Amino acid sequence: MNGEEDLKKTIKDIRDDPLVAEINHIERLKPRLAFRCKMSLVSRFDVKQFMEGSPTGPHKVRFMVARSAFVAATIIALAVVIFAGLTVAAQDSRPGDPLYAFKRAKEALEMAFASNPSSKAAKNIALAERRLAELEKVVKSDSVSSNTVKYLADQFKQNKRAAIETIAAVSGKQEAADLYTHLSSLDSEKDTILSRLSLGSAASVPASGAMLTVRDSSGSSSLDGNQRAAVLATDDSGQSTIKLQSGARDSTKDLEVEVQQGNRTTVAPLVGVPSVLKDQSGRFQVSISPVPQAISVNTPCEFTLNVTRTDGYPSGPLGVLVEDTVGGDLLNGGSVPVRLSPDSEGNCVLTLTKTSASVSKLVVALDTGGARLPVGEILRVGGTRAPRAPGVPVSVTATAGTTPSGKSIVTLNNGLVTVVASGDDAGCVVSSLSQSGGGQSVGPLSDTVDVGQSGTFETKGPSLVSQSALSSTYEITHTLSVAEGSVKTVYDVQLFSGAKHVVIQRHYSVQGQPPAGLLTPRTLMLPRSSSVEAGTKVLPQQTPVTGRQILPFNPVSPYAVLTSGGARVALMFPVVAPLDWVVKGNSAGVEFDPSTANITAVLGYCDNNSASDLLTKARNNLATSLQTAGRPPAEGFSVSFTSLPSSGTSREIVVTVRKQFEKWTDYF
Amino acid sequence: MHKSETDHLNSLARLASSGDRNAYGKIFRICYKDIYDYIARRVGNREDAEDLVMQVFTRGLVAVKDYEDRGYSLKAWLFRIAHNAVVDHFRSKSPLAESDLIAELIDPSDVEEEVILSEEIKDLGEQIKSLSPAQSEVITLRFIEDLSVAETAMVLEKKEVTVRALQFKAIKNLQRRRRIEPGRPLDNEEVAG
Repeated sequence: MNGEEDLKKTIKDIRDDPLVAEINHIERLKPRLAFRCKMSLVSRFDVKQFMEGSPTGPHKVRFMVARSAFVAATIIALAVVIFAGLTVAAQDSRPGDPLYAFKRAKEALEMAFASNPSSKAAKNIALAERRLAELEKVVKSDSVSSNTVKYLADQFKQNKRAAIETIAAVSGKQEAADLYTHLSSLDSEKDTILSRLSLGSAASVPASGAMLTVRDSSGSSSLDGNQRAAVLATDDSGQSTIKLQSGARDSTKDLEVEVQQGNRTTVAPLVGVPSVLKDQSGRFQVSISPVPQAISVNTPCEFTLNVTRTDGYPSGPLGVLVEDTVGGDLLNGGSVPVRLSPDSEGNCVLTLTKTSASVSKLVVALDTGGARLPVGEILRVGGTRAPRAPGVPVSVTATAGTTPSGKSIVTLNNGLVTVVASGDDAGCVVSSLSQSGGGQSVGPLSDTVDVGQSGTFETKGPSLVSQSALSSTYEITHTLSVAEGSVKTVYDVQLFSGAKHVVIQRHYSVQGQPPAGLLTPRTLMLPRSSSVEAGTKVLPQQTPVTGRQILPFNPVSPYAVLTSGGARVALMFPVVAPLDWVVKGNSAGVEFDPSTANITAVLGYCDNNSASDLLTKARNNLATSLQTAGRPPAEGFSVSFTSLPSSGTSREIVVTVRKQFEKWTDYF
Repeated sequence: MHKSETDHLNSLARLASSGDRNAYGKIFRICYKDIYDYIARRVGNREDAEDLVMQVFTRGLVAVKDYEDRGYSLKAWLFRIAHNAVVDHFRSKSPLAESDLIAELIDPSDVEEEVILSEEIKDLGEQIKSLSPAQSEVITLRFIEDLSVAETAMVLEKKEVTVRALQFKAIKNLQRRRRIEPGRPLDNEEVAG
């Protein structure tokens, strides 16, 4: 009998195997009662419409329920029979879930049974609170639809209004006061949730009720009535009309508008300047991009200047001189022109940081080897001041100092761990990490390459990047330079409030064409008394390391995990990480973005010996801090104007202001 | 599966594919417990299993329009959707949330649930889960969910001969682990490593 026949026979025999009989009798995994009720309800419904019972179509849901007597009867009949099960199943549903419509129907039923003002008020407060809990869930989800937020906001406001009305009718004074206190606490809860939502989700909506101050920055009095400034408020559509003196020369050219609402201010020129200019001789053309109306204060913004010859010939070596003619605000107070050298394409990159919100003017001239060719004003840009995390105290403290060798040193402490980042040690990212109040320290964490005799290595920082209630981030820059080019590695070292880990984000930028050896393999200096595991997926064995070791990275062994003594500390720092790696045991890890070559590493203390726990916490902390830190663009106001036909002795201009933030808060 | 049930489901499927949603609802009421059992065995926790059953329900609702009777039972067709939903589920999980660690997937706050779950999958069920994923799935579909070899092959997108070989190896593995002798009644012998 050959092998194949043998196999066939044995397979046939399997059917008679007592083990198969036993498998046949394995007890089934049964769904919980609540889920069985849910399935029973959902499968009996006109299912497609039920699935659409979401805030994208709340009216549809109500319409659907009202329309179909059969469906309504089904809800009531089932609600009576399986009320308990469904309550459990539905209570955690949120907008978009199939059972959400049932949840709302049940709430309406409960409200109908609330007999006196006191229970009505309490019920409305409870429902407003529930809408907030749903909002919180929605905020945490990956995609937030404005319809969902608007729907929840409308419901929240409706319940709040009803609660206030019914509290007024409550007879017991103490009871009314308690209800009111509870209701008021919901507002601060709402603001906390919205602060997370609004800053991460910029959108443009009319800025109604914003305060406008219109000024003529040339110093002349083009405003109607010889005023230097006019104060106005925008209407519901974000518009306001300013009056100018009739016949005022070029009267809009130097007008600027300051928009104020809440704790944000944007100053913007009403009219921009051409972003493409020719020099006086007409030989050269200069352009700039981007052309924003305003940029955020204290946030560096990169611009590209391009210089080309109008006749198409190469422009040859020349210098570009840029100067801020209004107090050097754009150039950090610099009063002398900055000289830039365009590359072979005629491009040069200019990073500008506004230090105040006022309008700045950037003027360009060309230097063609002795001769200075004026070009003119190429950028007129205002500024936006926006708080990053309003009204919350900083809970990560940072102490800055100087080492004996004159380099800067920063200590970050959140009460749980202390991180020291020092510029003293070339290649050092974090000098040490220790548990606050003593305990074993780890580090230093270094990331270095051998640049050989011909190269140089420079460490800059640490410098503060951002500080909020949730975290402090410091930047450390390593620059490796050889004749052919350089590699700049920027590390953002971030310490979070209430967390025992530090997140290190590493970004590369390469200038020129440095040899490949400068980029890879990288080497990592491990802390003393470490044990090391290295491998591709499952980490095979622990190799004790005594003293400092250099672990070379390569694509085969793309990362290292180490534990240090009994301190339950670990670090993972790969150059190329497989997407499906698994870390087991007491360690931490890394996320690698192959499209940008950026690395996020976590270094910290684990309470429960669980790497995944530490990583999850770090990931959540990072996501929250990104949301609350606010993103630089689009957080101010945009201003545009339309001239109305002149009449009588004055001209009128309609100014339209739109918000580029807080879309969601507007719904509440 | 009984022939009458298969016929009943297939006649409901014809109605459902022509747009009768009540028919689809009936199909699901008949089948969802089996789908739940299959999914719960694979994902190892109730929340995910319930979410996935709802997903299968919704996916099936969309796909039933194009349902064609190709000689497999309608239930096998739903198992195929369930299989794909589970595969997608594991793909969308973070790399750390591997399915081989049930404990990782259970919300540690829900101790009660963990206890119930571990009771449910003890003994033979546990041993089936400890087989290679392909063997475990074949055994589940063949002998717990009662699908034919052809249907199991369709659900898993494998050849029938592969399914047969997998079930053979799986049974042999289970026998080896339980050290049972042919014909001898099963008892609670210690599991061999």
